[in-house]
Amino acid sequence: MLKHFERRRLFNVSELKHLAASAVGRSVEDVARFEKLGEGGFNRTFLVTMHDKFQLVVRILYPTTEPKKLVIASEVATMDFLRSNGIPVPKIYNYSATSENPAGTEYLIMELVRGTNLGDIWFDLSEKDRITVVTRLVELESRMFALPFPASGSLYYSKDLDEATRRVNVPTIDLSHDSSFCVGPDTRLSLWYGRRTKLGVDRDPCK
Amino acid sequence: MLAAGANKEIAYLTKFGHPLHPFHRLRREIYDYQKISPSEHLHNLQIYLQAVHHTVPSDDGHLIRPTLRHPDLQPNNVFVSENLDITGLIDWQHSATLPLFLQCGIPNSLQNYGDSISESLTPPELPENFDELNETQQFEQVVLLRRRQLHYFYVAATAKLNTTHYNALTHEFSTLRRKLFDHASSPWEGDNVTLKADLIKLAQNWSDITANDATRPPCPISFSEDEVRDCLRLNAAQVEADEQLQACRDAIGIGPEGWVPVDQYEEVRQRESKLKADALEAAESEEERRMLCEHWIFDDFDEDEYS
Repeated sequence: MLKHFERRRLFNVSELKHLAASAVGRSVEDVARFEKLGEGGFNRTFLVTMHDKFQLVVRILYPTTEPKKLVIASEVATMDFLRSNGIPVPKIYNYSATSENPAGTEYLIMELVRGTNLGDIWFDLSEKDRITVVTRLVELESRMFALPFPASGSLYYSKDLDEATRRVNVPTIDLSHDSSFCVGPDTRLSLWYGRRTKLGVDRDPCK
Repeated sequence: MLAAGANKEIAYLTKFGHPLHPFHRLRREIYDYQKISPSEHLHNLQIYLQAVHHTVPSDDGHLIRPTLRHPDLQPNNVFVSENLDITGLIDWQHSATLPLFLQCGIPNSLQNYGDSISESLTPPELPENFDELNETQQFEQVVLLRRRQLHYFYVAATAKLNTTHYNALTHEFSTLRRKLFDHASSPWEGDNVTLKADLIKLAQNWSDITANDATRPPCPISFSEDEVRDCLRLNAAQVEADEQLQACRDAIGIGPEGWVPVDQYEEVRQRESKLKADALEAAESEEERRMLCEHWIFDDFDEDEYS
C-alpha cells in the first residue's frame, strides 16, 4: 500500500539521535547505529543500537496524520495506561507531542519489543499454533475489556491537553483519587480523515 | 457519542462533498461507471440522527460501559516469544474507548463475515473431495479454511475467556447497531446504499429494537416500497461485487487491505497479472476492456479525491 508516502518530512536525524540516547540516560557517542526499521516509502520507525548492543525504537508520525499533537499524546497515554495494568506494551522512554524540539518532529522513543513479529510467521503456523495465538490474544482482550473508564473518547495524560480542552478524569483503580490520566478528544481516524481535520465538529469525550 | 460521527460527516459533505466513483472498484460496474452524488447519503444521515438515540440497548448499563481495545489487532501488530506468548502489542494510534455495544466485534484480520459457515459458527473443515481438486482449487480451499478457522477460533475463545465481550457480540441486534454506527460515522466513499440498507433493516425491526423504551417512539424512517426494493437490490449487487473481490484476493494470495507477505510478493504479482490478462480476454467489448483497465481493482488509487 503506497498511501501516505507522498510528502517527505524533514527532520533532524542527528538531533533525534541525541534525544534517543538521552531518553535512556546515555550520550550520543554511545549510539552505534540509527537505521530504518521495516519497508515502505516513508519510514516512520527507526532502530537505534548502542555500542553495548542495547536497542530502542524511535517512531515519528506519517506527514499526513492529523491531529498530530492529540494522536501522539493519546498513543503515549494509552500505552502507559495499558502497561500499568499488565498488558504487554512497549515502554515509552520519552516523547514529544509537538514538533517544537531540536529534532523538528513529533516523536516517540520506546522500548524494542522482544520476540518475533507475528506477521512474519503467521502464514506458516500450524493449526494448533494458530489456536494458541488467538487464545492468548483473547485472554489479553479479556483483561482489557475489564478495565473501567468513565467516558468514551481517547486517553491522555491530563498535562498534555490544553486547559480549555474538555476531559473526564480517570480515577485510580480503587477510585480514591484521580490518576494522571483522563479521557479527552476522540482521535479515531474516521473523525479526522483528510479534510475532516479542518472541521470544527464535536469530538469531545462523552459519558 | 452516537451522533458525533454522523454530524462530522454531514459537516464534511456539506462543505467538501463531491461526486465520487464507488471506492470499491468492482462496484463501479453496477452504476455504469458513473460517479455517485453524496446528496442521498446526506439525507440518510439526517434520518440516522433522528432514529439512533432510540436504539441504545438497555440492560443495566453493561452494554453502554466505555471499553478499550486495540484499534487494529492483526499479526503485524503482535510480537510473540518462541512459545507463542504475546510479548508485545504495538501501534495504538487512533485508539479510543467506546460503549461496549459499539466496541464489540471480531478483529478485521480474523473475521470472515459474509460466509454462511462462519456466521453460523459451524466448525470449519476442508471439503470431502479436497484430494480430487486441482492445485489452484486446493490452494483456494486452504486459504478459505484458514479464514474460517480464525473466525471460529476467535469466537470460541471469546465465549470461553471473555464472556463480557461474547455477551455483547451475541446480544440481540448487536450487528445491526454496530453497522449503523460504523456506516454513519465512516468517511463517505461513493456509497449511498449501505447505510440506507441498515436504516431499512432498522425500520423493519423497529418495535423489537425499541421494545424496552417506555415512550414507544414512532419509527422516523419511511422509505417507499420502490425505494426499499431498489436499495436492497443494489446492496445485494454490492455485496456480490465485494465477494468477487475477496475471491480474487484469495486466488492471488492477497490478505486484508492488500497485505502480502514480503517473500511471496513476486508470486502474488504474477498471479495478479494473469488475473488481469484473463479478465481482459473474457471482456466482450473494447469499452469493457477500457473500463477494466481504468478501474483495475489492484491499482493504487488517488487518495486525495476521497480525503
